[in-house]
Parts: sequence; C-alpha cells; structure tokens
Amino acid sequence: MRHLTDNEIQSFLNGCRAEERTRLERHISKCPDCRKHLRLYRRLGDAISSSLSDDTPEGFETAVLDRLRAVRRIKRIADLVTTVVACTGFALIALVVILSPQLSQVFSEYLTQAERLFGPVIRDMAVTSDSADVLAFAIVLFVLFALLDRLVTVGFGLGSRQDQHPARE
Amino acid sequence: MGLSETDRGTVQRILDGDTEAFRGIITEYKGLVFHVVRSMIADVTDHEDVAQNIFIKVYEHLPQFEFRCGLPTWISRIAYNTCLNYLRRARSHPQDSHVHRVEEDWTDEIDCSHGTHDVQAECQAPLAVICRKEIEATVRESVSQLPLPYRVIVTLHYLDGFSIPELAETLGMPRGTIKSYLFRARALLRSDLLRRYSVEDLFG
Repeated sequence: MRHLTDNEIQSFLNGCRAEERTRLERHISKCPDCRKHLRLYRRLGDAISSSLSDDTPEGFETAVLDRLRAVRRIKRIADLVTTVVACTGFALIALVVILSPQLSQVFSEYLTQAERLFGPVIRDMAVTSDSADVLAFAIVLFVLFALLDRLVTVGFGLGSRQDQHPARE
Repeated sequence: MGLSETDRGTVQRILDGDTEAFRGIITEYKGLVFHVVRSMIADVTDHEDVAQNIFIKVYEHLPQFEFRCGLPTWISRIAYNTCLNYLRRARSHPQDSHVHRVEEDWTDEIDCSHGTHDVQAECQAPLAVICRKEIEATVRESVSQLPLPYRVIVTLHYLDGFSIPELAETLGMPRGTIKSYLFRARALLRSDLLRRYSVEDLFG
C-alpha cells in the first residue's frame, strides 16, 4: 500500500473536495503510519496555538483612543491654519487688485470678461438655485479666473499684459 | 471570515462619529493585531507603539471599508502592511530604530537547523507533563525562526483561524502561494520537532 504524501496529508488537514477527502479518509483509517503522520500535524497545531503569546498590554484601548483624539486635534489645528492662510492670501490679493489704480483698470476688465464668459451660466443657475449660491459661484469663478490670468501673465513671466490681451491695444 | 452583524453595527456607529464605539473594535481585534505584530517585529519595545499605529490607521481608513471582506481580514491586512513599512524603515535607517534583528529576505533559502538547545535531554520523565511545556517552547522558537511570511501565515492560521483565501487577502498573495508557504512552514516545523523529540514524547 502506497503511503499518502505529505502534501496529501496537509490537504486533508486544510480541507479538500468531498471525494478526495473520502479517499484520504479511507486510506488513513487503514494505514497506521499515515495516521501517525496526521496526528503529528494535529499535535503541532495544538502546540502552536498554546505556545504563542495571547497577552495584550493593559489599558491598550484607552491608549489608542487618547492617541486618536490627539491626532484628530492636531489635524483640526492644521486644517484651521491652512484655511486661515488661504483666506488671508485671497484677501490680500483682492485688496492689492482692487486698491491699486493701475490694477483697478485690470479688475474691471476681468469683470467684463468674467461677465461675458460666465454670465449666461450664472443667469441660467439663478432660475433654479438659491441666489446666495449663485453669487458665491460667480465670485469663485471670478477669483479663479483672475488668479489664473495673473499667474500665467505675471507669475510665470509668459509675456506682458498687452501681449496676452489684444483688447488693450 | 465574514462580517458579523455586531461588527457591521459598530462600524456604522463609528462612521456616524461615535469614537467610543471604536473601543469595541480595539477590544475585539487587539489580539489579532498583536499576533501579526509579534510575528513580524522582533523588538518587543516597539510592539505596542506599532499596534497603536495600526488601530489609528484602521480608524482613519474605516470610511473606505466597503464590507467586501471580513473586518478581521481587512484589519490584519492593515497590520501586515504597517509592519512591512516599519521593517523597511528599520532597514533603511537602522540608526533611528531599536530593531536589533533586521528581517531576513524571506525569499532566502530556509535553514531549519534551529538552535542547539537539547530539550530532549532535559525531559526524560515524566514525559507527558514536562515535555508539553518544553515542546511548546521548542515550537515557539521554531516558529520565530521561520522566514517572515511563513511566520505570519502560521500565526494567523493557527491562532486566528484564518483560511487560505483570507490569508491570501491579508498578505496580497495568490492562494496557491499561501498554500505552498503554509505547507512548507508546517513541514519545517514538523521536521524540527522530530529532530528533537521521539514520536512517543510528542504523543505522550
């Protein structure tokens, strides 16, 4: 009688198809050597389960929750700082653009262009949306449009305003 | 290992903003997380810190948990990846770490001639009682000397009842690979035991 291979015995331990299981079971019931082989693996499994530590430190849950609260506090502060910095930056840019006489001219051009570009969309929205949302949307579009334009023409030095805006000529 | 109704309810409460509900998840799965950490990281002084990091990640990623696999499988995957990152960092910055035993490349060939401690000589009789403790100590030592993925696989399989598909999900490896690693690990541990003990000792 051929003994089962180690692979077959381990497959039996791990669960195999019903017909294969029946075949292996039939052999194991008749073969003391293969039965011993299987018992040894089961003994090994018991030894592994009982030998590896299952302890966890006391107060672990509280330590994790305390750390979680600290992490969330730091994140909230970081978010707040980011928002304040971004708002201050936007406000400063808006002040510089509006207060400078030269830039005021540019500002009114932006307004005209923004109106031409986004006016129809904003008016369409006004039919279905709350007026405050429409206003906010219009302001965001305008600021983005103005900033993008400033970045392209001045920030990245791609040319003077006259080059970029033929309407000024 | 499916997601129990209790787990589902707890996850929903956490997602609704109940931080304290997370305590239940920690209590339920801290054993599992420590099994992964202990099987992967040799330095015991870092175990608790790494385990805490794992639960912080679990909390932060909970909104992305899509209930496609069981919560234990998902948590153990986070634990496994966090430990791998820890080991990579320890390997690239050994001076910043307390790790004394940098993990071996687990694709290396396995040397199963573990240790020189002759336990058998110390436990002649009465075998049944004394040897059980000694055998467990030997098995613990043998498991600790297995290559990295074998250790995790053996630990999760025997201590947490992970099946081959769940282990494949956790370690991000094909089922065939996991099966072959599990079989090899078991065969190594068996031959290690037989090198030190007689079959009678083992069944005593």
